[in-house]
Amino acid sequence: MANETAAGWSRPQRVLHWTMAALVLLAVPVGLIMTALPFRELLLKFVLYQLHKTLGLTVFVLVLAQLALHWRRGRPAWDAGLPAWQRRAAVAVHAALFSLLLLTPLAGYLTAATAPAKIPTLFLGVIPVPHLVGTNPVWFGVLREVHVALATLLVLLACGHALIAVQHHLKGRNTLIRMLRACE
Amino acid sequence: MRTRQRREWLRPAFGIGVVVWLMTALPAVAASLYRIDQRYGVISFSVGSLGLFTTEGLFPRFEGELLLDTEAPERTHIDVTIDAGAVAMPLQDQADLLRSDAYFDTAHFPAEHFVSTSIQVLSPTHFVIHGLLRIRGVAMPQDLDAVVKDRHFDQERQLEVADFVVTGDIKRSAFGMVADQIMVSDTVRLAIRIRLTVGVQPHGE
Repeated sequence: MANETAAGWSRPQRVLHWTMAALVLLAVPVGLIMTALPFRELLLKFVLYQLHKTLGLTVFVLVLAQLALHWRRGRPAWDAGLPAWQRRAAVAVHAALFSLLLLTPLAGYLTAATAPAKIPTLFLGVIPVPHLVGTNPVWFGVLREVHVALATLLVLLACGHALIAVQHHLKGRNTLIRMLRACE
Repeated sequence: MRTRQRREWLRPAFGIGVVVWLMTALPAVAASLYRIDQRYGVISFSVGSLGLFTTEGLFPRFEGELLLDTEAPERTHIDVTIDAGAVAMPLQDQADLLRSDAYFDTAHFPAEHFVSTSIQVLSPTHFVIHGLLRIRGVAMPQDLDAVVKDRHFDQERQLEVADFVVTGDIKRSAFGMVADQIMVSDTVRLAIRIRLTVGVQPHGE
């Protein structure tokens, strides 16, 4: 997928990266609040669920776009002096992050689709997204747990990813710089 | 048409119904008394949300009587008590919300009750049931549309069987259920599908 011919991350790649990060950062607390909210807060609960679904669907699409960009343009060359094991670890973490960024929204969508309550999925609160699978209480229970587990893993991995990027930055590498602006 | 006259002690909830039944049934020669409960039918309801989707629920426990007079349908009488606390929804949280004081307030009003006051005959198999519906202690006039889908004698079980579909629109705000007016429509669609039998004692009595 990724070759190492590009000088730095392109602007679309950087925009997609930070947009996805922001959406995930927003989706997690929204998800926690919407599930914790008492059912008596019916309207707010519904709005938050639709917001969470919208964020998830958007992330799913943006990840596909990011993967396409990576495939077309490749990634910047690795920092000289970066140990081989760290490169391998970085590749593995990126692969896991992309997988989780795809699988978590997918599990969320399937959770919504199989939910016994038959609540529709409305992108941006207005555009109906068809549920391609039917209601299934058993699968709903399983998928809900899977969605939460994947989301937890995604958050943990993303935090690790961010901490390591900061650590590299503090060590004088331009890891963060080239994610924020174009590099020569 | 088989004539049935029964004398039996009925539950207190049907006291009013019994009085009316005795007043109306005794002179009738073509009246059949049907026992109604959840073994023979389903009381379901649906409510719209934001005009985008519909949520459905059930009342899985109810009991009552129907005195059906085919020769004088206007003499027909219905009395049904529904266990509001048994309301069932796709999600437990939804059912709990309906039991709360914002809706059925089942802690104070565990049952809903419908008793007919008159029957309007539109055709031999289509009626409008005028009656009083009591929810949360509030009794309001309520019309229900009843259609006899099938009525026959089951030779195997030696029972008379009648399949009814009864529908009606209830304004929940009229009964003091005014919560979530943006999210939940005021109109609640009631749909009752019931198979009535003669000669079967409920609960193994």
